[in-house]
Amino acid sequence: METEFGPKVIFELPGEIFITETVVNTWIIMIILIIGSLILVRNFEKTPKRVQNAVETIVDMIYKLTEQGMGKDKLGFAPYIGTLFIFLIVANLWGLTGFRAPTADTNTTFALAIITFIMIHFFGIRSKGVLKYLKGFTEPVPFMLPLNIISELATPISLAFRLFGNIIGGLIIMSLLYGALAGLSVKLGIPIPIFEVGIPAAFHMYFDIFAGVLQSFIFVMLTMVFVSMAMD
Amino acid sequence: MEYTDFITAFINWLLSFDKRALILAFSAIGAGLAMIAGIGPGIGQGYAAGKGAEATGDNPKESKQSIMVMLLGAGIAETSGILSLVIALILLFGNPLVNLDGDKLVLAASAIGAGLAMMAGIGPGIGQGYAAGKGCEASSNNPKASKSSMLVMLLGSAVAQTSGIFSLVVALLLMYANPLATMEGHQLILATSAIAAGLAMIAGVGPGIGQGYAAGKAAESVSINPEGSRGATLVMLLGSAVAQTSGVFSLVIALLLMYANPLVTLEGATIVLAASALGAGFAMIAGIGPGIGQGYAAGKGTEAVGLRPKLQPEIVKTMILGQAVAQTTGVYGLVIALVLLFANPLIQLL
Repeated sequence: METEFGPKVIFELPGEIFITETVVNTWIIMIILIIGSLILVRNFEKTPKRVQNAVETIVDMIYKLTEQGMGKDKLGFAPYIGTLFIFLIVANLWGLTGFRAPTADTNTTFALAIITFIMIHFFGIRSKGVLKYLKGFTEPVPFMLPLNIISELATPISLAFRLFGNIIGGLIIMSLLYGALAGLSVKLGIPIPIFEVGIPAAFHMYFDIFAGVLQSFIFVMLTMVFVSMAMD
Repeated sequence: MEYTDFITAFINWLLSFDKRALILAFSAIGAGLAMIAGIGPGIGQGYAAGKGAEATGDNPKESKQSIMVMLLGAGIAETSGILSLVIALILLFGNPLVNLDGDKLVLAASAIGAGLAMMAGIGPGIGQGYAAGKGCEASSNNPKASKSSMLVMLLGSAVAQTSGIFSLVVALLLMYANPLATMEGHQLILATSAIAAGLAMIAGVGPGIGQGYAAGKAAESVSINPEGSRGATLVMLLGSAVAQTSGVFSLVIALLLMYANPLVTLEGATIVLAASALGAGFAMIAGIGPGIGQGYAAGKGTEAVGLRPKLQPEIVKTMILGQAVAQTTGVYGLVIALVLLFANPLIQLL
């Protein structure tokens, strides 16, 4: 049984830059999303037709979600929130294609969490001003300063690992399950791996689809709540 | 002095056994430890059954529907008990550790670690049982919204299972794909790391109970005000995600101990390094508290939003602020665990 659950290195660039499965899969997802969005927005008319209707519904939903999570005055965040949401859903469901989900790698989840972390503090400073922002760390009492700093640093860590833990957990359980089912068919002397056909479907439903969509939603919601809380 | 050095004497006594016998012996202990998780489903399903009896008494006409919701919820609350049973049965009947290559002490300790990790199932068991009881009550109080309150209850219960799943992952890794067995390093440090990974996962009790409470409150608030169900579900998911934080921290420490253990390459007295791994595992158990507390906040936030959907932004803000404060002791535990692993001050004192 394989003991390595880390991403495989596909090739190496000069200067010891390793290009892993995660990076290649992220490129593929980026290409799909970019080409998809270019194709979907072609030939838009004033009265929407089929494709345009669907696209407009999605965009409407994202704006509504942003309004609910951040308030009407922060609708400018909707494009980022929407991009993040769509990328996360595709990335989390990527495991279903048989490739490795990019979010099953701390490098991806930390990159996204650091963007959120920078947004929290950049927009916090911009809307409150430096002094009021710094004063926020000494509230409710100055004694809380170290505690507040630790909890600010804990935010991106928990954000990144919540997503990573859920996706890698599903990946590990699924690969152990496939291994066990393959072992079962070999043990029973069946040359065709029939056990691997139907049984994993229910597990994919929970670990990939349910957990994947839910964790995308939670990552996006927490980003919105943290950023908007830092601003007011 | 010879008699006071009981740890060396104990380790030597353990090492005097045959590899297979040692692993089998520790697997027996691991199987027993895993079954402790049964505390959770027992409490939870009892609560659900009580609520079912109450619902039948309050609204006999709709008792069929509410009993169905209760049974469904209680069935979900059984999950952690079943997962623990599976791990125990594997340890007893199809023990994979016996055939693994590696040090006997490490493999034996992995059986204990797997058992300890499964104890986290106490949390989801209690939490999902609470949700099942509340779902049953909700269905009897407002039979018209029974379907939507049941759906919210099921969604919340699935979320409450997360920490149990994390524990299952750690237990399965220790049993089937144990990275410690082949790692270079002193056997004692590796063995205590396996136990510590299991210990850390016990923190999952907290998120399980807390998220279950939130799920129950969500079902209740949907039945009281079906129109606020969207907001209530959203706040329940958000609050539960925050309540998961300590479970996530524990998973981080467990994975660090297994895949990127800094202690094995450190120079120093083996006994201090080995004990530091155990200490890191113990420190993470603090996560039980934040998990329960944040879950309570999530439940109350859900209730409040369900009753007054218009106040959602303010309620969410207060809830998240309070949850951040409730996380503090869990973060302390994480800091101590990380210090023990990466910047151990005890080694310099030697």
